[in-house]
Amino acid sequence: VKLTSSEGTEFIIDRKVAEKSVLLKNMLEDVGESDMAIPLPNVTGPILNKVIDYCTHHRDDPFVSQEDDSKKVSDDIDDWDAEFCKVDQGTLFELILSANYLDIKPLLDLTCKTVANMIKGKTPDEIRKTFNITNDFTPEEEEHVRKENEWCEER
Amino acid sequence: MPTDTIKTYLVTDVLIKIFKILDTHDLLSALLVNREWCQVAVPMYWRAPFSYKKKRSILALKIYNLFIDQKNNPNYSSQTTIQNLPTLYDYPLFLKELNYTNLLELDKEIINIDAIFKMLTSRGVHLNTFIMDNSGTNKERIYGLWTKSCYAPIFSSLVHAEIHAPFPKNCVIKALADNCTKLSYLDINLYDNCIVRVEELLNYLNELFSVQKRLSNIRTFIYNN
Repeated sequence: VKLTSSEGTEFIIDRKVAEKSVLLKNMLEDVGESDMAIPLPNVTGPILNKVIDYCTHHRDDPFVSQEDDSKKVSDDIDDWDAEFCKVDQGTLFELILSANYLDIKPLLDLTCKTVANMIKGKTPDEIRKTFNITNDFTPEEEEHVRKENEWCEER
Repeated sequence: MPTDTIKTYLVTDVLIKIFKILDTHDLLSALLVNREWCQVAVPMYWRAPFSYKKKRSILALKIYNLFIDQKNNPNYSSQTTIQNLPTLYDYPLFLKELNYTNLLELDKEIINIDAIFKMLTSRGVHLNTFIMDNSGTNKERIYGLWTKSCYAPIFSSLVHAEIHAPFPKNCVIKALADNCTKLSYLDINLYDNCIVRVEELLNYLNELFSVQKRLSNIRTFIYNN
């Protein structure tokens, strides 16, 4: 199967690897075998490379259905996956978006878990620092939100 | 990374997926980060305010009471606009899962529980999940309070019901049969020692099963029959 990234780089991968993506799987089923490259205008080359790495490593994993929403525990990430997610934030977020777009549920779960782990145990201010987010609440607003939602001050 | 980078990446869909993994403590921190995160986290945070720690339920009840008191205010109009909300968000509207037993732990006054259900009905709340744990004591009147027909709209979208508290379930089964067609999970303790009531109960049960379109997971207990 041939894929083209947003900047036009061509990637050739096994059909089995491509079928990790529900989007591609459905496309391939509709179109059938073809020499035409599938354009992926939303995914850049380096990110597509990472995604292919992931799908190749997990090519033999059983398929997880969309409905199977079993308890997501964030510490069950294996070593290979943890290593895979050791990337800068920009890459991590692009991976999330690509996994979302290509519909690769296990990759989406993994990357979301990784971000969730970056939030866990942090104060709001620490979260803002971690992701470089500006606090756009007015002081009154922030006080309101705090008062109306805070049921327990101590951690 | 500049702020606008994260904004383009962490769109609402993705934020929801991430926040779903967080526990309520971390969700609270996320909620206080900025306006956008607050907007996404608040509905999730208020989805099931009576299903967790007691401290949290107490706060939720306090906020709910602001909405109830507001009705007694002479300036109140039934139109819900931002201006006449007593709080920043319309918190009761986000309620999807109600643990009724936990709510009763906080307030056993029939008049107060009635007021809460009236408020929820008038705001157009639709529950997805309803739970009654087995708390052991038999307070039939207050246990069955939610089955009053005036509160039916709250239960019209119910998907998941767990009712373990021991009390005669005729009113419960009748209310479920009358209001719910979308149940997919029902776990209910139907213990009853009055044979006449049980016969009536079985009729209501028949009716309940015949109107369900998606019931796939069901567990019922009838000890004495």
